[in-house]
Amino acid sequence: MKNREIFEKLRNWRNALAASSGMAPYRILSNNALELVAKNLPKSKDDFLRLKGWGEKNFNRYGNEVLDIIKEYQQKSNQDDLASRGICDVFDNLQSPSKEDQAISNFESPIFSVKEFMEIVNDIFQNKLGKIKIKGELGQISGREKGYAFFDFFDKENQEIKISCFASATTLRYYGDFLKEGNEVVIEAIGSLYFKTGRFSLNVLKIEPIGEGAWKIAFEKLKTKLEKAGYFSPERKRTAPFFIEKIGLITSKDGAAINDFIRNLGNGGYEIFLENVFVEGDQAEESIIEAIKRLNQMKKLPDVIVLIRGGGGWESFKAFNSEKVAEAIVSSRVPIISGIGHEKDVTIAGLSADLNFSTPTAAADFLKNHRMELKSKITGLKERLENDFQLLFLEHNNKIRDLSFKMEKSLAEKINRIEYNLGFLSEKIQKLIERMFFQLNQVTEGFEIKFKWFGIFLDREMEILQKNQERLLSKLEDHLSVFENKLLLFESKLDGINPKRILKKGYSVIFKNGKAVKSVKEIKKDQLVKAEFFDGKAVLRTEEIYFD
Amino acid sequence: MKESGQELKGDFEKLKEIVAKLDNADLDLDESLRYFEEGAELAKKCFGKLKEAKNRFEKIKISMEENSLED
Repeated sequence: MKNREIFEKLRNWRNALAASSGMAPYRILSNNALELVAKNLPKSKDDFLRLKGWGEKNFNRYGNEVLDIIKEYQQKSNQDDLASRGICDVFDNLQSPSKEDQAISNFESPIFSVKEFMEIVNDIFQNKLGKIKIKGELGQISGREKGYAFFDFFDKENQEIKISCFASATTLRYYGDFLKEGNEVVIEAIGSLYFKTGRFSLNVLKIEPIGEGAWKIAFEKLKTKLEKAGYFSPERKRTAPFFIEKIGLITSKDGAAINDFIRNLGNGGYEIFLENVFVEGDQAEESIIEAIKRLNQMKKLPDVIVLIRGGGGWESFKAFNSEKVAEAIVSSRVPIISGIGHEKDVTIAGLSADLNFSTPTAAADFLKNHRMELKSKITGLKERLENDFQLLFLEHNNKIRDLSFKMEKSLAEKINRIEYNLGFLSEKIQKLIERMFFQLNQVTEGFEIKFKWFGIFLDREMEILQKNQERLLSKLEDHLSVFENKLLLFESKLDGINPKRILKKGYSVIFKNGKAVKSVKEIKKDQLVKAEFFDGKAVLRTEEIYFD
Repeated sequence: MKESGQELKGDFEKLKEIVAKLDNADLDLDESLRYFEEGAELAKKCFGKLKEAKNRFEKIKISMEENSLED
């Protein structure tokens, strides 16, 4: 109920913050997160970060305020404790006044109401004395049909002495099997006065059988019960996660088991969260259950929880044969691996675990092998990946090479074809040219011959021509000289008959069209004629023509 | 990686087309040469990409081996 008080305080603080900031309360911090704080009362940032719902961000925002609230609460509750201790001191003094001589002389006895007195008594039994273990024999049991039990607990040596006991439904649920009249058992109980009757009774929290034989019977019974409930069934059990890195280790830090486990685990780079618990004794059961719960509340859950302890006598395994522990194991969200005791030891916890190994060493070996298998799997996959890539690479490389080869071939073929065609063509052309040259040669050759002949012919003609010319010239010369002579002669003769001499005598010559007119018939009427006189010329018009 | 892979695939397809075109007898030399040039460029690119991929792969492989040999 103390948790309730701090929880209420935290909730009030949060709601006030929500009201002032206008945010929804759950947006600030969830009820769950507050409950975890109330339950665990974290003292440091690390403590906070291990709680679900508490991240770095939340802690930075609200951590200090929450820490203050916790501190305030703890101081107050200490004061309360001190206050109640004060009453206790008073009570102590009341009970044994002889103990403190000085105090007594000045001590004035306080007066309590009945209710106050009963509260003091109950406070002493509940808070100061707490749980007490008592050995005895069970008397008649009543009230079971209603879900709880009343019975008397007798002193074994003296059956006259007994005390009233009450066992709640919860107690019956776990320990009901041991509740049988006449059984010798050890009970764990807290005493209290019942206000209405003033009757003192023990509230029984736990019942344990006495002796190995009784324990074995109890073990078998529990085993049958849990087997029926399906705790051990293979279908319920989870396999180890694929990759285990974070290990929640539940064991005693001083036991042999932790060394065996760590030594055999190998260096796999594990992150180990040790939950140091009592592995035997009265607190073992509770501390193991709490450890399982705490590990399940971690913000980042461990991959597995390993529950181990070394070998020991049957009493050492009490906590590992507890129904409550078995319940915590099957309720765990994180798979639990167990390695409890020696080879032959069978425990309820082991049977309930998801993976059970005979010893801490065997549990460590399993984890080591698990990691090795994973490694070889990864190596295999890696090799496959490499091969696949190489194949892919080669395939692509070949394809591209093939294509470029094809391309080259194709072009080369084209060029060859063209080359061939060109070759063929040029050959043809060459032949054609050759033929042309041949013909040309023939023509020119003929021409040359002809030309030569023509030259010769020409030369001869020229020679002839020249000869003729010379002959002609000499003849012409001859002729000329003859003609000249004749002309000279003629001139002298002519001079005697020069017409001009005649003209001087009164004659004239008529010319028509440059020709001397010899007859009158040559001229017509009205015609212009030229008359030449010895000293000049005149143009005359014919007026009249007369024939003789 | 995926992108360059797609690109490689695209280039590869183009190269295939070019080879098919080059096989066409009707193409004149000029055109053929142009295609060949383009194709050669593509093939070079493809080889380059492939080589790049291979180099990256080798690098990753080495780093993988370095890591796996740690313990």
